[in-house]
Amino acid sequence: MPQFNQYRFQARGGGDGPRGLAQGDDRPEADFPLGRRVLITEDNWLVAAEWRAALEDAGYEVVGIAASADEALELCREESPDLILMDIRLLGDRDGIEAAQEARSLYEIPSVFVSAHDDSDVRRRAAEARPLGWITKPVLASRIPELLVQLARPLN
Amino acid sequence: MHPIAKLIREPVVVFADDGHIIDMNRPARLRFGESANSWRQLFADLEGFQNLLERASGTSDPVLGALRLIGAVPSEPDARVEALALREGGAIGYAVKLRDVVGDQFPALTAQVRELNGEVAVRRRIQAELEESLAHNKVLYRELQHRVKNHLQMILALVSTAGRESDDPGRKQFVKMLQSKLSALFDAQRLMYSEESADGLRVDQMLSALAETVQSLAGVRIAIVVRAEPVIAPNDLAFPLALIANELLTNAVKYAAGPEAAVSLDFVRSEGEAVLTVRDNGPGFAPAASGPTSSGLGLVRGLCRQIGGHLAIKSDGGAVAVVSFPLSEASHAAV
Repeated sequence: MPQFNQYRFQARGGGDGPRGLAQGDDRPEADFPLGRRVLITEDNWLVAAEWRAALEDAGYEVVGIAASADEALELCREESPDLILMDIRLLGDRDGIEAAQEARSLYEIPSVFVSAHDDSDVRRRAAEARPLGWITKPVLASRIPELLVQLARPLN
Repeated sequence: MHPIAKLIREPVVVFADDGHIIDMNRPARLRFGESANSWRQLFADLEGFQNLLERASGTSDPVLGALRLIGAVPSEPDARVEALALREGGAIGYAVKLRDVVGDQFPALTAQVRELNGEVAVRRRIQAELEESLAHNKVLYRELQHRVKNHLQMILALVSTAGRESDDPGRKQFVKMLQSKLSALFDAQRLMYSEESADGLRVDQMLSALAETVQSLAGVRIAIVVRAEPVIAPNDLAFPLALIANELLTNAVKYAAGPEAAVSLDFVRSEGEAVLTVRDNGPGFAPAASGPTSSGLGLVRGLCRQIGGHLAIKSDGGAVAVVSFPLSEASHAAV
């Protein structure tokens, strides 16, 4: 008997839904298991803008875009987001792993790393920030909301 | 030399005050050669030698020291020596004995050991240089991968922006098609160069990643089941296979019908051949679909030819596309 790895996916509807829904729309909380208010930390402006558009399309509120660890921590303090989408390589001296660690320890705000780094050394170091998960670049921006839902499942 | 020196098995050399060699016992002659006539032919370190004799001149007992021997390789320690001042009338000389060197009874062997030591030292240095260079290359390789992925991310972002900024449904559809193809290529690229897959890419992982993307872009409720053997394919196959699977899946999702819409993808490998089957429960292939004008299938056919494969399509409770291509037995993954 050949050995199979079986995968089963069930798409969620709404890929073509209306865009830019205001906060407080009627989407169920289950669509935002990691919280609804998100801080994007990403030093590439074009990519950050895509993340923002995709998250807002899915009903998230993006509290801001930070390009450096310092900016991210300042926005954490001012806006208290539920979640940070955190790139690892950032502008400035400190990287996203350090920013994620501080956001955890100072404000109890968790991060999901979205990074082109996926070698084991970086992952080991990043584990200290206790991230909720990891999304590897390149990724279609429109997939980020569903990947966040997947990360929230206990199996992940 | 005093006959008593014959009792000493280590090399003993007698120097005049000015460093000339006056006499050597037999082990010393074997060690340094009959013609040695100066300290220069024995030791590489004038200051150390002078210092040793000076200390010996101040006492009637032997003094200990360490001297660098001529021709010693870098890894070799200094030779441990003992020096004794010899006074005869007003003149002074020095006997210097090499300790731990039991005369050289096997000069050829010693020479060979010395040569081997030299070789070991050279190899160690080369090894250290190679290790350093490897570490440097690893850093460069990671940096390159990082940059490539970030550039691909930029491409995806640019394409998405083009779709989002338009209200034209045709353009949106075109952008989705492009996103789907690019994602398929990028998934293949990501898996090809992941840490775990040095020799090729895991086809099952790639197919499941593709299915997720196709399903996500379809934006409709539909089940895609992927059953794939954990096969490693050579990197040459990665891009064509990714595009073929993406095309067939996208097509199947488009035509799968009704509330029970279902698409399956199977991938098996046996006897040097791999078979990829994509099946939906839609109306089946229309006869026209096999014509050359069907661009999606045209792409699949062309890529099939590229990998030495073959496409068969049929209707059997929906459309069924079967791609078979050669794939060697050696490419099964250790799971």
